[in-house]
Amino acid sequence: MTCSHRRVRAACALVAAACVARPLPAAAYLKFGVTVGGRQVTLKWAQTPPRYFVSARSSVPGVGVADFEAAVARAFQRWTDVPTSTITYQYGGLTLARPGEDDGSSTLGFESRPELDRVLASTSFLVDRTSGALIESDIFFNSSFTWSVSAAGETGRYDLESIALHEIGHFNGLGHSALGETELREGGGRRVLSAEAVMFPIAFSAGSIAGRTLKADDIAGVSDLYPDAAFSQKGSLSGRVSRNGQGFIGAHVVAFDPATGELVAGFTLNAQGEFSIGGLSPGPKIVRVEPLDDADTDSFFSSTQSIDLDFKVLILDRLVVVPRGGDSGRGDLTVIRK
Amino acid sequence: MAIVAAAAPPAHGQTPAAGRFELGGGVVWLGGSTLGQRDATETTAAGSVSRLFSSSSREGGAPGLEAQVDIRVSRRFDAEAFASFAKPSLSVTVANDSEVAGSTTATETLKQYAVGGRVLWYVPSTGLQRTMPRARVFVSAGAAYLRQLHEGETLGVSGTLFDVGGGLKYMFRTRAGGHLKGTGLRGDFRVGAQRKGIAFDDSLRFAPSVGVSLFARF
Repeated sequence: MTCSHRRVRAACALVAAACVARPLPAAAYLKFGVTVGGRQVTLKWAQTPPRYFVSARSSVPGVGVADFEAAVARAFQRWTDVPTSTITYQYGGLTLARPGEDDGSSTLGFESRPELDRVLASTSFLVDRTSGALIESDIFFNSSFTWSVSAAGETGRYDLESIALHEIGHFNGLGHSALGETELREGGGRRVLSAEAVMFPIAFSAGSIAGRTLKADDIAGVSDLYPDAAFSQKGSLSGRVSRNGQGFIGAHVVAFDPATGELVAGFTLNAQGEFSIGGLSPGPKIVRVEPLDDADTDSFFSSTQSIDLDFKVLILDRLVVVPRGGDSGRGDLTVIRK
Repeated sequence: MAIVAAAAPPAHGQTPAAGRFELGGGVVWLGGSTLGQRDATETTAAGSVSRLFSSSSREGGAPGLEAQVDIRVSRRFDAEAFASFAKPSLSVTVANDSEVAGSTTATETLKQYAVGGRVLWYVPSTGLQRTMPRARVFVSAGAAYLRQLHEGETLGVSGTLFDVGGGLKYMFRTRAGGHLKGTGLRGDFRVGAQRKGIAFDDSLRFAPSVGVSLFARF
């Protein structure tokens, strides 16, 4: 089992990012992918509902096992409630296994990882090397931090439900979203000023419960992975970002709906600068392109990837119309150096 | 005296000219209207909203074409069927973006078709008609099916148009015999209310329109 399988880690560093994301070229979102036989395969559950277990050791001061079970159940339910997605989950009960054990079971629980002082939680996957099939996905929550399951949050403690909601997004196969604004902290790292995606790689500060609500970008992403019939009424917006005629990877492209205020975003995912953003409501959109400078770029792309940040923010002077069940047609966005 | 009387033109204004229906066509100017404002926002740690940028949207005014078929129902009422076409613009202005100086306006050109009907009521004798006996003042009200196509025609939306207004018809010439009973010029001023179509909510949007057309009466 271990010879043919490979554990892939998507560490959600909700203080600082340490995410290994392998985005699919020109994919609609930052979905996880694995390379099998030279081709990219989307990392997702082939059979649903996936079953998860809670480690019987999942207790820390202020959070008992039952509290942990209830909090993650609420988080799973939020993803289940997405109306345009078919994803559901099955709870298998308590287990003596620990997250990270290659046992064929997806286990959630606390682990003491004091050396990961910027990592609140981490999601990892066990993948069949030969087929790319997802076998299990484990989530650990770092007990070196203090946690809360209080309905209103607790000052100085991280909200378990919010962090679980983010990690379950990875569990589903989603990578990080760049819809957020940060500032540098003294002593290193970044502080989140605001975010419009649960999948933003950096968590709100301790005590905040603002991360308990899925946003349009999260909903579009999970619906793209596990679409239901209603999702077919959505459309996509695609194009190419270039500078001096050259495309480049890593530009953050945001589609804003002036009718609803929704923000859904994607990235240019190849050297040609191509992007595609799916899960959009039909209608005209404002398109905004910006450099990926509100989080470490290795929260989104492999650290071996060179991400270009040297360009000015551009708002396209043409409305891009997203059709029902179709694509806008390729639009070209030309940016200039700062 | 008898020769002069025989050469005198027929009286107009207070009574309709002969003929039961009219065909007309001309140009209209459709006024623009505001679609609304919406901020792009993100959520803060406290659960409040932080604005990324603001947007304000507008459907612009535009010239168009309109054709009418009027049928005289009674001395004072006409029933009218009409169709119009115009190409208004849709624009969204983005401002207050901390990373972009000034504002940016993104636009697209729509294609708009309307098909509907109106009732025209001819106002009884007015001072204008006493001085211009060939003129008839009317008040109108109508409704139409609206179809608007976004640029590229990959997405179309439907709505309803209601309008009230009035205008004046001026007959150039009339004839008692023959199929063609007369020709004339018509001017309209209306206030329209649109529901749905290009809209960001279900509320009515109001816009004025003016039109000038030529017509032939049969």
